[in-house]
Amino acid sequence: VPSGIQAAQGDEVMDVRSQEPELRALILAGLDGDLAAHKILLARLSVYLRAYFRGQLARIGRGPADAEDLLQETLIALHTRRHTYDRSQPLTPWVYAIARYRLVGEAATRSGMSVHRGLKALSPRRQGSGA
Amino acid sequence: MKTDELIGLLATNLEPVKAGRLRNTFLIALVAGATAAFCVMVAIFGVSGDALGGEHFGLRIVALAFTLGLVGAGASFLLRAARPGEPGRKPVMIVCLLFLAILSAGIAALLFAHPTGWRGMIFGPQWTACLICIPLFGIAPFALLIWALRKGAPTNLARTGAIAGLVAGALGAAIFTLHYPVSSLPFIALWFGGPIALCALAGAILGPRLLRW
Repeated sequence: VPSGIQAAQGDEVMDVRSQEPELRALILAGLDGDLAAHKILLARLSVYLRAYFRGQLARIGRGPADAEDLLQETLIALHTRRHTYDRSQPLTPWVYAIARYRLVGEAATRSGMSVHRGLKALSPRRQGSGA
Repeated sequence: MKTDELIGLLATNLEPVKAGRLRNTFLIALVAGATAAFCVMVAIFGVSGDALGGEHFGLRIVALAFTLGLVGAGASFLLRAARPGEPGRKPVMIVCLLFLAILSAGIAALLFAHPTGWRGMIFGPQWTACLICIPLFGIAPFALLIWALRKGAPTNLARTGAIAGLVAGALGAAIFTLHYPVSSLPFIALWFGGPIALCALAGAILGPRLLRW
């Protein structure tokens, strides 16, 4: 296991926003072609994203295996679409916008809902009444 | 596959990313779209001698300012909407203000004119030409903008599609003003603004299908 992944497991409880400057430095290095930085970034983000997907999916009665699938899809999206990150902007909103898009798409596909309704079912206000 | 393995796999080959890549893609889409729309116009109407001269020069400038304003504001929205996250409200506000401005100008012009002239001002010489040509000229720019957006990662597909339709329609309308003798402000508001709004509606409907990733 690479050291970056081990390090990331430790600060699982910390708020991702407090990590913003470090994570941002990692993606900027990755965009310039730094392989190690890119790998550490994906490993560290996967810790936060795993917690995010598990929490969100639990609300619609789905387990950690589904969360892991979504996490992997999101990591692939973060990697293949990394050119859509605007270097002048904070990283966290970009990451979570991608994660949320994957989550809503997933919820919509599995239950046959439209993406719009999927969003509503997942929004906190509609919790319990949706799906 | 385990997630750690996936990360290892993703990080085996990393091409450096150039900073202005997405912006350049949009510039290409806009320039190629405008060129294509112009070619469609020349193919249908031929080259007219008085591109921006002739009658009603001032009104043509108004129509051009309105449509190019929409293109500018809409394109700046699309550039942000192509990236995951909130694109911000400012460009959409500018789009609304432009529509509001042309509508109020149109109504004001009607109020200053005698009611017997209203019919002529509203329907002009050929309102059907606008209704057909603006969406027609917008097809190529729309396809190119969708292509550019698909290079990005938009997360609000209906809204992004709507603005792509708006920009394409406005670009088509801007090209159309080079040929068409606009004769009144209410005409611009109704027969330029209307078809552009229809293009936006079509874009909103097509967006979720065309932009999914």
